[in-house]
Amino acid sequence: MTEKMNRAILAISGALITYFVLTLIEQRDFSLIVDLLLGTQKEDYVNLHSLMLIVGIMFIVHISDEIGTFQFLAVIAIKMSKGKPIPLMIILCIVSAVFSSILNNILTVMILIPLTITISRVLNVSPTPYILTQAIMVNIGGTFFPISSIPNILITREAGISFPDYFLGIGVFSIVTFAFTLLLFVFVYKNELSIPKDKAIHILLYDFDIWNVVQSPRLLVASLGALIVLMISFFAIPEEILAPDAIALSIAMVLTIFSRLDAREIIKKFDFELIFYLLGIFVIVGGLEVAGVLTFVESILRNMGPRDDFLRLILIMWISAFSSAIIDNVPITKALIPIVTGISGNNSSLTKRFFFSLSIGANWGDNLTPLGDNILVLNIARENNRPISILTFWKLGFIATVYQLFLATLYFTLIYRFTLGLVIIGVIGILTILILILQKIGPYKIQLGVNKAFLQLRNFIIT
Amino acid sequence: MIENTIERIKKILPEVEHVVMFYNDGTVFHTTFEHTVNIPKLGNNFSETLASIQKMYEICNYDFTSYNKLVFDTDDINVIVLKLGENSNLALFFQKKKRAGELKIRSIRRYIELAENLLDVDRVELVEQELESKESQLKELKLQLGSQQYKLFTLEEFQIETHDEEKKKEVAKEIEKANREVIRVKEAIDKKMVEIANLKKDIEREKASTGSD
Repeated sequence: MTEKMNRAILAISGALITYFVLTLIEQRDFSLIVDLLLGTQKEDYVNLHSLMLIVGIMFIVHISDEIGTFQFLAVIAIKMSKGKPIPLMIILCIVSAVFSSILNNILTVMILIPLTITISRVLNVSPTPYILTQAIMVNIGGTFFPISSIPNILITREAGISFPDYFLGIGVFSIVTFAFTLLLFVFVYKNELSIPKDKAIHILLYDFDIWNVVQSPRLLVASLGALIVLMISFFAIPEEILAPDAIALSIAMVLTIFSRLDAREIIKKFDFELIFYLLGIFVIVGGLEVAGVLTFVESILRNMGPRDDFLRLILIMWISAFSSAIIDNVPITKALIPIVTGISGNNSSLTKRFFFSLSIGANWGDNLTPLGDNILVLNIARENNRPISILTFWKLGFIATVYQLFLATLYFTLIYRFTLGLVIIGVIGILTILILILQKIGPYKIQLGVNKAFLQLRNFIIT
Repeated sequence: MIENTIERIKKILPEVEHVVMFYNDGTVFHTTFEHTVNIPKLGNNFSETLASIQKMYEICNYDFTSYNKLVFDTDDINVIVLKLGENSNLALFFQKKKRAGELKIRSIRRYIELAENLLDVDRVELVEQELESKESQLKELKLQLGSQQYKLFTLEEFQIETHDEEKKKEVAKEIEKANREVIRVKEAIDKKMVEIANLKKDIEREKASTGSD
């Protein structure tokens, strides 16, 4: 539906209906709508803080994009691969995850996919494997830091999870999952990537001037400095002293003034659709909460679902993943936040873990279907005359996401049921080693069988 | 390589002051402009200009397939944008005072084509390359099949001729192994042939849709 109608218009329409119901039928005061939009004083104006943080990050990101900082870093990384297919795929995946941990997913793919297609034209190779793997890795980058995605900003603001807490709880695990997903991609594509000719590699390495993508070295240094200061401040300054949104906005203003770029041009690039969309969602979900709908859903889930906290946590992750795949992850997260808070009761450490599982599900679930942001990836590829079929995207996206969610389930199992987790990891490890040994030095018939199974699996995923 | 091509273009047409090679997405691949010029912005403006003209065609209900060149003539400077490859372009900035007579764009066509080959590859070419590589893989597999079949034949001959029971057993094992290998290679050949047929269909489809030969 959001493909046919603008999501901001849909959200504002929904917010207006909520407004009419609350003010005309329920006879509630207008101040309630203001509370829904910005958050109440009791909850420390959580929505306003989230919006300020998003605007601050947007400023820094758009100035850096205008300067060409991300393109510069991407080209340097690509050149480091020396045009070799597997290193190029790994580097592009790393770049896409790192970028999406700072930028939003849409901006990341808008910067990286055209650049990947350009590089593939120079190298004379098909860009499809590189595009697919990057598009999938973008979601993993979304769970590196609390500022990496809108669901994370909403969750951490609402639950009061600090930057280091989030990074240690989920960020580090996301980096591990990223490495395991890379292994999967190397397994799938190792025989499929064509090796570029020496002449093409020479052109990429020596003729493509990286300074062509940057406005000026002075601005590049300023923007890189701002990004580094931002990350260090988030880690080092406790929220009680200075809120992250105040940090982001301050750095954004200093960078805007120092860069002397046309501020109107920067503001023009702002994603106002996202701001309006968020405001609409705040009112709709807040309205559902006021009307008691979310409390009702929470009580149903509490009574019908499993009593065990561990199973509840796993359920939250898988449910949020599949619902984010069908609907957008922002409304899903906003609606699930009060439900998750209710289910976890007053146990703060349990609440935090529940929110971690919600964050993973909401961010990673996106690739279970080729909808949402992924449509943009397919559109960019088509516009550049390198079309990718939806089925090809969906097969790899679905398999990679289920694999990642399985790894997350294993991670939570290790936290809650250490022995069970260890047994599962042991069994998987032994089976993998056994298969690899049989493939290398087993009887000929078994070697043939294992190779055939691997080939069929690869063909199923790729073709 | 690209630099040499640009040098040659400038040698043939001395009135060319600056050259910009850019892709349709605005990425500037190579330029003779100094870095005091905002090069990313320059690339973006070229890309937007081409997109605007394409949009203008759509508004006027003209079919836009692809362009050949765009000329912008002003008092001091002439800018000519030429289509290079599928997605790449070459912009030439001419200093008018230096210009004598008509511009001889044709005389640099050879170098433009050279740059095109260095910079860009179209989809059909990409599929044709894949086809070429699959065909050479098929050739290799056929050779492999031939040698395996010869090995099998020799082993079978030996098995008939020998009277040593121990050796017969050993050869039987070898024959079984060679047989399996022949089956595996035959399967791989079948698969490769299907892939080649699909790629050929893909090329025909692509050529029919673009109307190229």
